[in-house]
Amino acid sequence: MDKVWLIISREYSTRVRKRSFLIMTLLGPLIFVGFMAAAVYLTQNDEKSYEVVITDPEGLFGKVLFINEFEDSPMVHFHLQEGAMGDQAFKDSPYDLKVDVVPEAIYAQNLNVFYKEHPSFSVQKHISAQLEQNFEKVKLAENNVSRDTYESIKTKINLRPLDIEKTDSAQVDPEIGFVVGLALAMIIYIFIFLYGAQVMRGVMEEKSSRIVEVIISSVRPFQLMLGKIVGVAAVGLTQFLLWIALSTALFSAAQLFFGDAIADPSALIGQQMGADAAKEMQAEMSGSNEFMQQFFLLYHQTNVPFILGMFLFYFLGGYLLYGSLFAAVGSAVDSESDTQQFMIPLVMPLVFAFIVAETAITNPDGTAVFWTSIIPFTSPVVMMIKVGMMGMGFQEIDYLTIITSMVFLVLGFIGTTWLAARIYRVGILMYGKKVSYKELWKWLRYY
Amino acid sequence: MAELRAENIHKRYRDHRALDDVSITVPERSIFGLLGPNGAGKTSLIRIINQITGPDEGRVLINGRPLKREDISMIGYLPEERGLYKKMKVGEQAIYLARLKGMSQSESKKKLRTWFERFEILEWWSKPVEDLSKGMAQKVQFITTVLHEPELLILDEPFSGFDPINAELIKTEILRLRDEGATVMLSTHNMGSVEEICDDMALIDKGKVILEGKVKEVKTRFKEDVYDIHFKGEMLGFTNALWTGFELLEKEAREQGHMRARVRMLDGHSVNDLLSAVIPHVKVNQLTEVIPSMNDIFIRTVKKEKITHG
Repeated sequence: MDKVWLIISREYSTRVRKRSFLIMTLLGPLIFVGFMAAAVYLTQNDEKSYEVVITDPEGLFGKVLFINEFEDSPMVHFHLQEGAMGDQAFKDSPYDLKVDVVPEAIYAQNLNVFYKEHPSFSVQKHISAQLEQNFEKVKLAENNVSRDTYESIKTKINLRPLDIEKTDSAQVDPEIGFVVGLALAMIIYIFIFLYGAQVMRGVMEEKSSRIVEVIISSVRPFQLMLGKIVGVAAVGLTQFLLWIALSTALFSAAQLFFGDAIADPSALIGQQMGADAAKEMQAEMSGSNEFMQQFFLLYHQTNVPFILGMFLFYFLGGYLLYGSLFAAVGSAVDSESDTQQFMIPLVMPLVFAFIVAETAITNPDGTAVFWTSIIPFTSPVVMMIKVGMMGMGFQEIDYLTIITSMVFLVLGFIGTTWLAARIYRVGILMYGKKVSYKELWKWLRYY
Repeated sequence: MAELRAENIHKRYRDHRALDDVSITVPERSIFGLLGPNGAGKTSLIRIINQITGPDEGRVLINGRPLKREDISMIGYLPEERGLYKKMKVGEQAIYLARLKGMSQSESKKKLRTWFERFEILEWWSKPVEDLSKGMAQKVQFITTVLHEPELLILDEPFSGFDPINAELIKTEILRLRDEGATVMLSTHNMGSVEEICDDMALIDKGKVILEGKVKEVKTRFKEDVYDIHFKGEMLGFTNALWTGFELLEKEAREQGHMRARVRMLDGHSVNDLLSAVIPHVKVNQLTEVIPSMNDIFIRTVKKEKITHG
């Protein structure tokens, strides 16, 4: 056991001291925050502002109808023009968009907006909101209804799905649980590939530098393989924790530079849509109070220890399952180019798992999701969706499924480690032989 | 001190028989040479002794008891295929390998310094291994094999890759380790070194021991009653003096009337008979028995084996 520790610490310390580890650790969060900042920057500054001309071909302005209260937004500037504007005149004008307000338009469902450059969704949203407001004013005046009466009559239903099991409490949209789960699944998926490949390369290095026989005269091949897998896992966890710490630090720093936009998505949305549209959106959520209330609700109903515990379990379980197989592949080949044929069966189940995970939102209780969350080759990825849903309080914690899945994963990685060890101990001493699946099968049966 | 015995070892791989009833004994405090052509089964046997693979049948005994996993700390093994982690620093790596053998950090560091000084590589301590020349890397490998003062040393082709000067250094160290109490088993193609340093030997071919014993005794066994005789006088007179009891194998005229002839005794005739036959005709300077070299014995035995077994 001492020797395994020795191997683990060597694997760990040589990797952590590598320049590439330092670079990746520093660059990871920078890239992450950089992307975020770039996205914010692009949406904030790169979107051009539109000059919108509202024409009045039939002279409605200030007469029958009082359509003249258009509010600008950072991206939309309104201009009123009395009389019509022909197509050619529009083309020659400095305006980007043209809306013709004819009497029929006020009562129509659809309204044409002519463009020189297709307006973005948020620009369209702002224009339609302004038009709606003005048209409503016309209709209110026509029907002799005061604005206050109208506001009190106006009905807007926001459908909220509530779990019958806990109708006592207010609830949040379950989609957030799915998104969190998918993010966790993504991290596990990437981690397995990234660090599995490191294990494979480490084994190949030992084999090609011929150090392996020296080492296995002191320790069992299994100890060497296990030490490497665990050592690399420790490196991965370290990198992951450093990323979280650094990202948090950078995030706070970025917030100082870019303002609230990064941290508070609603502020970002507000800037994109213009103040009014955002107001409207918040109104749809029945005011910012409810937004905060939802946030606290979510915070309250999220079982952080559960999510964290499950994530770590599947993170490590999945890595151990595949890590030993990657080690076996590394031991069987002489060079990186020979690894291809053995990689496909390792990659396929993971890719498949990720596809299933993505479709889980439409049918989270389906057969495919169930079985893939039991089968150890796919469960580390697929289970994260369930963990997200359960951990954030949208589903009851299904202990039976979880325990079954965990037991299978543990059995799974014991199985793959056993299998891999049998290939490994033969493979590391085998040089200059092009290995086929048939050959691997033979190795499995040596004793 | 350790005596090593392998008894009736069998090892089969799917397509061939690597070892077929191999038994060897390595007496304690001696150097044992394991010889044999490529693919004879030497490395298979060495791997079994090092518990890297297991035998299909047979057992390995150390000091008369079966070898156990824990005994690994009393063995120092230098594999034929040997290397080091290229990116690690020399000293750090040597300490790592020593600690895998169960030594403590401080002890290994202290001993390594002594060895590195003796091998004149101390200045390479904090350099990465990839900067070492092949010979220097071999020295580091040798040091890490013997550092924990194993009672049993197993060296697979220890001289391959060394220049003559370093090969000599390694030879001296092996002899010194033996004198200090270690039992050494080495496999080699270098027959000269077998004659120089080995006490005992075994020759393996096609998974079988075909010749074994004390090196001196084996060489005696292969003597063929052939003598080199140096004399002054006429070669014609010498050859005429040889009667039917002797066979002239070689003759050579050297400078200033010195001659050399190689003669085989026939029909149980002795050296005395030879001398009394030639002394009346020539002046004998020197008479030596021709003892076959290990190289000759190796080639002869392996060839004979080929003829008898196709």
